[in-house]
Amino acid sequence: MMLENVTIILKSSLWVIIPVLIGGIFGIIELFRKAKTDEIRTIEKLITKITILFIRGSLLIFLQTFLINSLTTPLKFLSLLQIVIFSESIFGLLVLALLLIKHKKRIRIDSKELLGILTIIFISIIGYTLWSQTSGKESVINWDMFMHQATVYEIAEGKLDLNTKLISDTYNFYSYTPFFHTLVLAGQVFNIPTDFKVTEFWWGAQYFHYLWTILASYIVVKQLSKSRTAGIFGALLGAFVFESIMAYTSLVLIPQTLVGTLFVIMLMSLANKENSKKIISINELSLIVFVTLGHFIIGVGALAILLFNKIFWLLQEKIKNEENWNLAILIISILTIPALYLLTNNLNLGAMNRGEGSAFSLPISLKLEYLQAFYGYILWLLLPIGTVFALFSKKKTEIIFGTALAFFTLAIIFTNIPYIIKYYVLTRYFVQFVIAFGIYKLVEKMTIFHKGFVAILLMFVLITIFSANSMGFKDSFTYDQKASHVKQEELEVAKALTEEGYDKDIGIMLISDPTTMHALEGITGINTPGGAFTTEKTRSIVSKIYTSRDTRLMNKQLFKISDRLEKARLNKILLVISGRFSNWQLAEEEKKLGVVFNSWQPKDLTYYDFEFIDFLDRSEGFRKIYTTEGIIVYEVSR
Amino acid sequence: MLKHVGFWGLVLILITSVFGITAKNSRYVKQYIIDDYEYGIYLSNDNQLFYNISPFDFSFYSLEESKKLVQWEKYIEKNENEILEKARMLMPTILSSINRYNPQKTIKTEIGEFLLKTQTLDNKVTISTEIPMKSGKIIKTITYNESDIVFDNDLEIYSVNDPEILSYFAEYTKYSFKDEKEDAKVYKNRIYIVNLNNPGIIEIKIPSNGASVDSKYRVINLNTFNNEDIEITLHNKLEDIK
Repeated sequence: MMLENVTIILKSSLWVIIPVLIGGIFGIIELFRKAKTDEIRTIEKLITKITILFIRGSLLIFLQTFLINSLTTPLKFLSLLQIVIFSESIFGLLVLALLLIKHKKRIRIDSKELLGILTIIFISIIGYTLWSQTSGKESVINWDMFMHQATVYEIAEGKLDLNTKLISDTYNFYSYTPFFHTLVLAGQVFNIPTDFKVTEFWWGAQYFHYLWTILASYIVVKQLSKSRTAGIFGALLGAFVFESIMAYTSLVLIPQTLVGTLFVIMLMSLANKENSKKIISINELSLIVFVTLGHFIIGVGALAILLFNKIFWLLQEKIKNEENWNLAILIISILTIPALYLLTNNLNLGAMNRGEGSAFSLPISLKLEYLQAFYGYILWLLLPIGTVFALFSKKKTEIIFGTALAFFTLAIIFTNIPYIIKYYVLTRYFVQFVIAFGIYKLVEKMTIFHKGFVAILLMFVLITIFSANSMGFKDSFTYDQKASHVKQEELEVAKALTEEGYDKDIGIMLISDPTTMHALEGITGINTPGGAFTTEKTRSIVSKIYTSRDTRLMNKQLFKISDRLEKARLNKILLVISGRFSNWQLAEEEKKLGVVFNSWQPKDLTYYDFEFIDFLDRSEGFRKIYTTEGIIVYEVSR
Repeated sequence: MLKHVGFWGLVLILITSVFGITAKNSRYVKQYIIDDYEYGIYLSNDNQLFYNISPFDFSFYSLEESKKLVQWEKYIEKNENEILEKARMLMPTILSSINRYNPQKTIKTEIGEFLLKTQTLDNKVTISTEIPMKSGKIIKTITYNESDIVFDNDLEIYSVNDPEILSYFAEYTKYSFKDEKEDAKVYKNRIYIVNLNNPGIIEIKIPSNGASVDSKYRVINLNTFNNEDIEITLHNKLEDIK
C-alpha cells in the first residue's frame, strides 16, 4: 500500500519535473557565461531557482503546444508533442547536470538548512497523510478537476485555443487561458490517464503542490522576518491552514492556487531595493506572463502586488523619514479594509458570471465565519499581536512590507465582489507571515527548548483546527466512508466505457444529470453537453425525460440536445442513470434549471429508480450496455 | 520576566485558539453516519431519516406490562461548561476527521448515568450500554420510520405502512414476502430495515432471547440479557445481504 502510494506520487511528479527540466534549457546561456552566479546556500534560494526553471519551462511548453498544434494535424499532434517534450527534457537534464558540475562549489546547503528542508518535508507528509485518510488516491476532492482533465483530453486531441471556452463547453466564464492544461498535459503526455489513473494522478500531483505551498509559506516568513524559526512557524501555518471554501490554496491543484503559490515565491526574490532600481528583470517579465496566462483574476491581483512592490521599494530609496513613512503605510493598509468594504458594499455585483456569482457573493459575517473555520481563533488573536510587533520592530522595512500586504489583500477579501475569497490564495501568505512573526517575537528570547515546545503546541493546535475544518469540508461529499466527488463504481463505469472505445467516437455524447456528466467527462474524455455547466435547454430536456413514458418522444428529445462546440453529427447517446441522476431529478424544477444546484455527493440508486429503469429496459432503441447495482448505462440510437 | 509573560501568554493564546473550531464527532459506516444526539445515539444515511437508540426507550422485560428503565422526567439537562465540553471534544474531532472515532453518549438522569458506546469494525457496529441499575432482562430498542419496510431473513414482514410500497419492493427484489405478521415476535436471527427512498440496509442481529417489532410506535425491541450489546451491520445495497 505504502509502496503503491509512493509509486503513484513519483509518477505524478512529472507535472513538476518536466517543466523544470525544460526550463533547464535556458541554462545554456549561463553555461557559456563567465560572470559569477549567486551562491545557493539556503532553502529559499534553491526553491526560487527551481520555481524560475518551472516558470520558464511552463511558458515554453505553452508556446510550443500552440506551435505544434498549428503546424500539424490533430492525429499527429500528440505523438509530435511527445517527441518534443521527451527531447527537451533530456536536453534540459543535460544542461542542468553540466550547470551543477560547473557551479558545484557554489551550492552549499549547511546542516541547519538541510534540517529545515527535512522538517518541511516531514510536516508535509504528516499533513498529507492525515488528509488522505478519508480522501486518498481514489478520491476527487474538487469538482474543477473534472473540467481541467476534460480540457487536457481535448487538447491531446488537438483542440487548442487561447480561449478555454472554445476548447470545452464546461467553462462558464473565461478566467484563464489553457496555460495550466498544457502544463498538466506535459506531465501526462506519455500516458494520458483515464478512470482510476485520473484520480491517482491528481492525488499524487496534489502532494507536490501541497509541499510547494508549505515551502512558499516558509520562504515568505523567513525572507521577511530573516528568521529560520519564524519560517518554520510559517511552514506549520502553511501546512495546516486550509481554505476550505473557494480558495483551497494548499490542497487543491488548480490554476489559481498554482499561480498564487509560485507568485509569492518569486515575489520574495524581487522584494528589495536593488530590484526596484531595474525597470524590469527577465524573471519579473516571465512572472508577469506566467500569472497573466495562468489566471486572469489572480493574475491582476498579483500584478497589483508587483506594482506595489516596485513603488514600495523605490520610495524606500527616496524618502528621508523612513519610520514615519512605514507607520503611514501600515495605517493606510489597515484603513483600506473598512474603506473598500464601504465602497463596494452597496454595489450589486451578483449578476456577474451568468447569475452564479450571486450565490457566491458572501456577506462579511460569513467570510469571518469561514476565516474562523480555517484558523480557529489564531487569526483574531495573533494577527493583531503580529501587527503590533511589526510596528515596533527595529529591522522594519521587510516586515512592514509583508504586514501592509496582509492588510491590503485582506481588504480585497472583504469587498462585495463575487468569488473574491479565491483571492485568498495570495492573501494567505502575508496573513500567515504576520501571525508567524507574532509567534516568533513572543518566543524570540526564549531557549531552544521553549521554541521547540511552542512549535509542537502550535502543530497540535493547527492539526486540531485542520481536522475540524477538513471534516466540515468533506462532510457534504462523503460516500461510503470516502470523501470524493466520484465513487468506485463510477470509476469502473469509466474504465468499461473507455475500454469499449466510446471516448474515441466523436458521434457519441454522454447524457445524465449535470454532475454525472461533469464527472464522467473528466474521467473518460467522452463528450457531454457542458457537464455541470450545461445549458438551460439541456437541463430542461433531461428533466422532462424522467417523467416521460413515451419512448419515441424521449428519443427525439434526447437527440435535440446539442453541444456548443462539437458539431459532428450525433449518432448515439450514452444515457447514464445513477443515484445522482434521480437525486437531481427529484429537486424543484427551478433548481434544476439553474447552475448552482448540483448533486456533488455520489449516491446510489434508490429502489424507486427501478421503475424508470424497468421502463427503459423495455423501450426500443435503449440498449443496456453496462449495469451495476448503482449505475446503468444505455446506448441510445437515433 | 517579560519574556516569560510572552511565552506563557502565547501558550494560552494557542490553547484558546482551538476553541474557535466547530467540533464534529461522528463516524461514517458505509453510507450511514453514526452520531450522538441529546438522548442517545443515532444512525442516518441522509440526515432526514434517523434510527435512534436511547435509554429512554429501553424497558425492563416483563410478561405483563413492561416498565421503562428511566422516565423522561428524570432527565437532567446537560449543564457542562462550554469550554470544558469543547476541550473534551478535541481528540474526538481529530479522530472523526480520519474516521476513527467511535461515538458515545453519556445521559445524566436522576437515577444515574447511562452510557452508550459504539464500536465499529468494517461495517459492523456494536452498541454497548452501561446502566446505573442491575442488568437483568432488558429490552433495548431501535426506532425506525413510517416509510420503512421491516422484514426478517425468512421474508416475514413486520412493518409496512403502504402495501403498494411492499408490492413494488417485492417486484424489484423478486422476493416472495409473507403477509404482514399479526404476531410481532421475531423468530429468526436477523431483521432488516429498508427505505425505498434511500439506498442502504440496516441489519440487526436478534439476541438469543428474541425480539419483537412494535409497528404502532415504530420500534424494534431487542430482548437482551445481562446487558447484551446491540449488533448492527450496515450495507449499501440489498445485493450485499442476498
